[in-house]
Amino acid sequence: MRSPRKLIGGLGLLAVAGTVAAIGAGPLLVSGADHLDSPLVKIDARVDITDVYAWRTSASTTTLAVNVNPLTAPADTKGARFRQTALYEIKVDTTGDAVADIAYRIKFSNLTRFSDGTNTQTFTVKRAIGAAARRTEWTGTTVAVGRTSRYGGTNRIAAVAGGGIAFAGPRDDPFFFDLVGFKHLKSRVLAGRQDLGTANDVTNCALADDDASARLLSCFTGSDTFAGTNVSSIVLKLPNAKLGGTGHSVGIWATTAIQTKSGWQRIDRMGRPAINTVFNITDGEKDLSNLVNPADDRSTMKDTTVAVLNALSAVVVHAGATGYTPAQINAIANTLLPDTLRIRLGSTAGFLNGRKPADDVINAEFSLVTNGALTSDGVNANDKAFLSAFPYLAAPH
Amino acid sequence: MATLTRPRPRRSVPIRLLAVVGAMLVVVVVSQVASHLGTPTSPPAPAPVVVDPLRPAIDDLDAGGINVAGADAGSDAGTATDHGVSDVARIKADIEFWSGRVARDHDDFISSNRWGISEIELARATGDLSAFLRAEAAFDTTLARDPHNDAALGYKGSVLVSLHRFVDAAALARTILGRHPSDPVALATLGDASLELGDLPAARDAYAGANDVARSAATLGRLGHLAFISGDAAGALRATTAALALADSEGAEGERAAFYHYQLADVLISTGDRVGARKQYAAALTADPGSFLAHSGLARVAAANGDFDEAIRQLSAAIAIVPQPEFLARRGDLFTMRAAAGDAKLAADDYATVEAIAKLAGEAAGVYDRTLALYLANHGLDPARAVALAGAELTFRKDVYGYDADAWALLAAGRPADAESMMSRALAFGTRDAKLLYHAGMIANALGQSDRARTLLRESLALDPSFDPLQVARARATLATLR
Repeated sequence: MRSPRKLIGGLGLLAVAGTVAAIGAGPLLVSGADHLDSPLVKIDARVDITDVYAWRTSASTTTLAVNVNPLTAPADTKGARFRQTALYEIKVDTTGDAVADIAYRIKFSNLTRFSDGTNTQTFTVKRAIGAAARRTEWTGTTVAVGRTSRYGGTNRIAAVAGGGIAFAGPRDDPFFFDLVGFKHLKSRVLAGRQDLGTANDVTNCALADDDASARLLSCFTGSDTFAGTNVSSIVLKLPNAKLGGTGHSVGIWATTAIQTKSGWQRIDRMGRPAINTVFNITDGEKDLSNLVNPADDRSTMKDTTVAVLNALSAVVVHAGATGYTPAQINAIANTLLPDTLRIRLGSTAGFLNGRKPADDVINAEFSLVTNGALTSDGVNANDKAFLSAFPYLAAPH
Repeated sequence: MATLTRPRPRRSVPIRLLAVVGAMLVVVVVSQVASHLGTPTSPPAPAPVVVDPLRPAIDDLDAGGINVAGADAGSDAGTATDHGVSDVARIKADIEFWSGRVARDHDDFISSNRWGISEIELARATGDLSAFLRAEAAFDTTLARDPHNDAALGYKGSVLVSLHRFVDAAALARTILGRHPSDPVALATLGDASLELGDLPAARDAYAGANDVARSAATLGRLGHLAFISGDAAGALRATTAALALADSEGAEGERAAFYHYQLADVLISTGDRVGARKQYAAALTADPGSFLAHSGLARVAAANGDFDEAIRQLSAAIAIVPQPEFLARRGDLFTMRAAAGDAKLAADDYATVEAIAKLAGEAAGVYDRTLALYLANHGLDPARAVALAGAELTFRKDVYGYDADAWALLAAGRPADAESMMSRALAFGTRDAKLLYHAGMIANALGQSDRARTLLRESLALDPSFDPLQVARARATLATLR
């Protein structure tokens, strides 16, 4: 906090001499509170899921991670934490019907704040199976209790009953993506533009997205929008036996819900990376897909997914490459939906099999949705090296 | 950016005033330079490495399962230490971070939007309105590339409300709502602007819509304010109490947490509960030690309790953070009422500063029009100017306090019949505010309506004898002549 009182004392002479000269610098403004401004309406970033990861960490273990608190600046990371009136869930479908058969549920409590602005919380992990796993509720068998790791402190790891370990706390955002470049690409595709152009075309990028001369790739700069920013991570390393068994294919997704008088209210849901970003066009569609369950994805999202795939296919054809047939587009939409992160437990294969933090998922998805015509957003690695040991995600900036 | 009217040097302006004004200018200029768009900024200093001494690195689990009763406690309250002290430092670090990214890539809409939001937070925490101008510039950076960026448009709308550009704010919010009818930020902005423009039905619809799609402390607090303006004190108390509880579970800290305590305190004190209000003002100050609003609230309680020394001390603390004209005028009144040795000069200094601030604000002085009109009317100064200021604002901002300010200025100008006409429009809103009843009572008295004056003044003093120490004293004196 600046100290105007000190300034007044220290600058008194300067002020007397300088007031008239300084007046030309600009309007003098202090708040004129004849009305009281209310705080901004904001979504609670603590329940805003950024990404979900599931990857092989040994022949017999799989690590699951879910991140919230997107784009947290370093100064905000000190005070970043999880919402204590929220339920964080990682759902597992072991039968291929996009319905949860296992749920790992995480809640936070007992916030302790320190004078340096950092904090810790207790996290409790419950495991539910069967019909109970499908619901959004704070039930199940408690399998772990630990404390979140403090910003700048030692990583604290809790044991999971029946095997496994758990971590929660601030981490570098492992995601890497030129989101700014992509946003222009998407806007331009939706405006009917089809010329690919080249990345880093500053002149063309400067055009409005609906300009007839705007090209699709010109705004990609190779700049990782998420570099230098942090998230809050929940990481569970679990025996495959607890997730359906080694060699078994399962679907993983995460949800967040907040406590209300009428029960738990879903806030966010995510499986594969960027599905909502890429395939839903309006805010309403994005909200809807957050609220429904994966089993409903084809009924709620498939039309827009097919529309976007068709638009991209037209671009590919326009560029002289081979587009997808309607049957292929239908098949891809059915692969991407329901939106669960499919992984064969124990398999070393990368994305689309599960998702390792280092997987360049955007490149893979670009290639998939354009039949190989687009293969990169120009950002090919995270800005921080991943750890070789649990919790694997890099320390926060 | 507004141009500035250069004031003539005034021999009567005291040295202390110049010091205050000089300090404010330095603050404004320094902060403008610090976050200038094109200025390369250094990365934030690395955070200190702190190892938590309270816990081992590994938390062992009782493999048999642990009783976690209490783990689902519904509050985000923690074991507090001295959090809040560094809120402004944190916000400034955020501004440096995000504006630095914008400087490197003007196309980075995420960073320009976050920069703008951080500037709004800074303006709220420090009372420095120039941060709102920088916020507007940040959102305009986004909008220059993407005129349809709804986040930038929505937050820009809230900035316009803070800069008293209510008509522009409402228009902008309606633009967003045309595309996204349930955008909660736009609905909140439309509600805020409508309320200030006196369109309560529109405010009610907008706030209800925002609350439906994004029920939160921010929406409940707004509904609470609307209820108060509509004369529903009980509803205002319920909503602001609920907003405070929700703010806690939302993890509100610093200025944001303090706001909800302050808002509840204002409702409490306006309904005569000074003890409850004092507790909430104090809680606001605990949440944000830099809360100038909390200091001003504590001053209001102290003054009503007759403790002028404490009231002056609290107002001085508020003024040291941000020299708002209202605070200076109030402190001047308290000096006048305390009447200790030297107080007359201190009061004169404060009064001179009030006018100097309004003059120095140049074109942006519109922000202070209502404040200045009331100040002039309260102190029997330049009634024609008070009427002109209040009347000009009333041409577009027809809210309860706009009619009230106009009525009060008209009474000061010796036009009680016109004043009554305006006051009746203010009272038609139904707002239960002791200041309004006092103004109405004094107007009735000037019109020779003794019974009505007596009733209104009694009602005012019974409702909340804290609204303004000098005016409350006048209300009591007037009432004494009517008995």
